Amino acid sequence: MTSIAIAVVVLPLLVSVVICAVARREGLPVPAGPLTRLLVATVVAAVSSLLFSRLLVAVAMFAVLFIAFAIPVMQALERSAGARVRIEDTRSALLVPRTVSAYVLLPARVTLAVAVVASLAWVVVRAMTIAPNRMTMLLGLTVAGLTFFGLYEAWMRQEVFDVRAIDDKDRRLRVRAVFAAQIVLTLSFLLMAALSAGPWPGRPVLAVAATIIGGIGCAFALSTGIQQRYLEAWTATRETRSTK
Amino acid sequence: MILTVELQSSISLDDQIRNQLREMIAVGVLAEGQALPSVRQLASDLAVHFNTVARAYRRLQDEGLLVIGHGRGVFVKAVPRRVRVPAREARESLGGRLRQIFVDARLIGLTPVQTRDLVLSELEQFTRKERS
Repeated sequence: MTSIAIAVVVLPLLVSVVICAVARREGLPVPAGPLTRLLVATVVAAVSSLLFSRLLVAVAMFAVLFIAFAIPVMQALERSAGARVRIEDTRSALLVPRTVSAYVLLPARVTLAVAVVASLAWVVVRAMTIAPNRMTMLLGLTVAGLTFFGLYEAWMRQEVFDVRAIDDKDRRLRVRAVFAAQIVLTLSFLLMAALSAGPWPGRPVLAVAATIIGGIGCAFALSTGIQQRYLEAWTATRETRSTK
Repeated sequence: MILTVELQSSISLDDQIRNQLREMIAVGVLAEGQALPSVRQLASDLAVHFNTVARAYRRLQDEGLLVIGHGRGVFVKAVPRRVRVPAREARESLGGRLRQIFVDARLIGLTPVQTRDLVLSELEQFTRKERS
């Protein structure tokens, strides 16, 4: 039960803290007040989860904390939306087509895809050897691994089309960093699923590892919107100017 | 190779994109067979509507300067340069457009000598680009 409590309580806190840290690094205004108050709520939730050692209490705490953390973070991001829009009358574009393969070598991507398929096959074989009531962890970790694969694939494509910088070297570094994170997250979750099928309470170390790795991975994937910069849409510019 | 558009310009965005690409193809900056960014990428980089770029590309395709292969990308088509004598209709059409430019020059108050100097200076710049 301790490992469930850790996962339930730490996850919303970790995700919110990482998103706020990324937002501050990007120079976006994120007030510290709500987060500090929510830290107290986290401690209360942690104690409650441990005192009432029941799965239902833990799930309820997770839902309450998730909503409590998500609301101030979303509000702060909405308020900072204007700071992410660039207003420029002169716009430039490189006349070079960009694809993910131009930044990450195709053999590397194929190797990852093969590793994912092999890990999935391993998970399926493992699933056939264990009792159905011990499948929750295996399925949870497998779904998490595949979700990270999809999320980071989408993020990589987003980076390729991002208009933040015209400098291709910078873009290459960012796309490769996302690809490296995709490898680590996807394979670590699929390997955890294959190696340790069993009940959560019996695996506190695994629960903490999965919570921390998953929480950070999830937070970075969610923070992609904060890191993006948008050029003011042309139609909006024209309409605003014509009404002046 | 950078394409730049001005939102404040009196020239429409698709004309700005088309004119710059035509010039780059004419002077050889964009070589035959060279791949160009997709409509989606260029529209996203310039933060203009997808249709603006699509229209510019389509017109260049109609002029025979680009090949748009669905799913394969956009490529510069071979341009016959200095080899063939242009067709009589093409020369006449160009002459007509030049006459319009002379009319415009007169209407804004340029003398024939000033107009000639302007034309020669622009031609000089164009051939310098082509040589480089």
